[in-house]
Amino acid sequence: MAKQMAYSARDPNEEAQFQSLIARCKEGDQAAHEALYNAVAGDVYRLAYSLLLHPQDSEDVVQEVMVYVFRSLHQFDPQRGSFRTWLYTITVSRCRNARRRKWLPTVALSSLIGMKGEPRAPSAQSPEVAVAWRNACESLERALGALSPRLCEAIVLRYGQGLTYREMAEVLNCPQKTAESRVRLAHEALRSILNDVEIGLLEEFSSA
Amino acid sequence: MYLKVPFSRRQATLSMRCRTIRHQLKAYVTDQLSQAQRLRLAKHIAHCESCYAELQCELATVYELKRHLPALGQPNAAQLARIWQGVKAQTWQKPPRYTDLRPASALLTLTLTLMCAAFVFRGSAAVAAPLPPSPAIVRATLTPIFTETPDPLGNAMARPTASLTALYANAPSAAPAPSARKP
Repeated sequence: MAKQMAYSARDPNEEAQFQSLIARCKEGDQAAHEALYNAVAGDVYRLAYSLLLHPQDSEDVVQEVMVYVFRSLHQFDPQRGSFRTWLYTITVSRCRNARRRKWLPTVALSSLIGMKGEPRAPSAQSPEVAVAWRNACESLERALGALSPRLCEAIVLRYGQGLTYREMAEVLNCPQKTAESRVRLAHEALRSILNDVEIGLLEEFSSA
Repeated sequence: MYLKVPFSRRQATLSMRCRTIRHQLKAYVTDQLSQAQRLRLAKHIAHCESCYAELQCELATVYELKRHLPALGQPNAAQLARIWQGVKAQTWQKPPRYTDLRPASALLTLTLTLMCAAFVFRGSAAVAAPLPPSPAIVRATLTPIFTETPDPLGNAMARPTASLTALYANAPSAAPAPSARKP
């Protein structure tokens, strides 16, 4: 198992595609902006949601991040790191700001009128598996909410976004060994929390 | 949170080698061991059932995280479209320019200036102008109140001849009549 292996099946030519899109964006091509948004917005939303665990806050953060990225494309230097690393650095920073703002009590409008978010279970599964999937995601959300913000960022970037430890160190602005130890500590804490709630996800999905 | 992980009795009875391996298991499942360390760990696990069971637990946790964390917070198309509309509005929408409103604002400023000036000068003229005399006062000043009449006793003291009651009757009464106070 390679030490720098990433878990996500990322396109090796992704960075070259980003560079060509960025070059077109700098020329004012609106279609290139939309293509760049479609390429990264889903990942940015997943990262924001994993860190904030709130749909509306995550949407606000994604919008804020993308507006900042489009306005600051001339500041991006490909020599210093990949576009995705730069994007995640901005996202993590905005999520930290949003978490600070969350100290003020707020009530989501959707909770007042009884709306709920879209189910995230795969649509092609049976209802039992979908329920088990939703329960597993809710348990994982509770476990992530119990983690400290630094450990949560580390584990989400590692397993949720598939970054290498070197990329994590760039995003979190810390030494690589610090990123490794945060992942180790988060793994240990999550294991104890997940064992406490007795979710037994492995058995559920292996039997489904 | 890390410090709250219980140090079980079973772990306290482990050999020194097993304790070292348990510590390395967490590093192993998070891809933080070198090739030589992984080989040593594999040799130990091959003949230690308790460490192998512990490795299975660690791998199950990693499996759950790898499986569920990427699926956490998958946005739907409506959310992404809503965010894109907001991004477009903020990125390309230029701030409103008020060049069309310049003549109107100049006219408004001029009008306000003129109104302020008129108010100031009107107030000062009212303060400087004397109050017009009321008819009662005019009549009272023009009518001699005190006239000298020959006193049979030879007293040269002035006596009022003009009736003061007539003067007061012409003046506006400040207080209402006593009968008006009755309910």
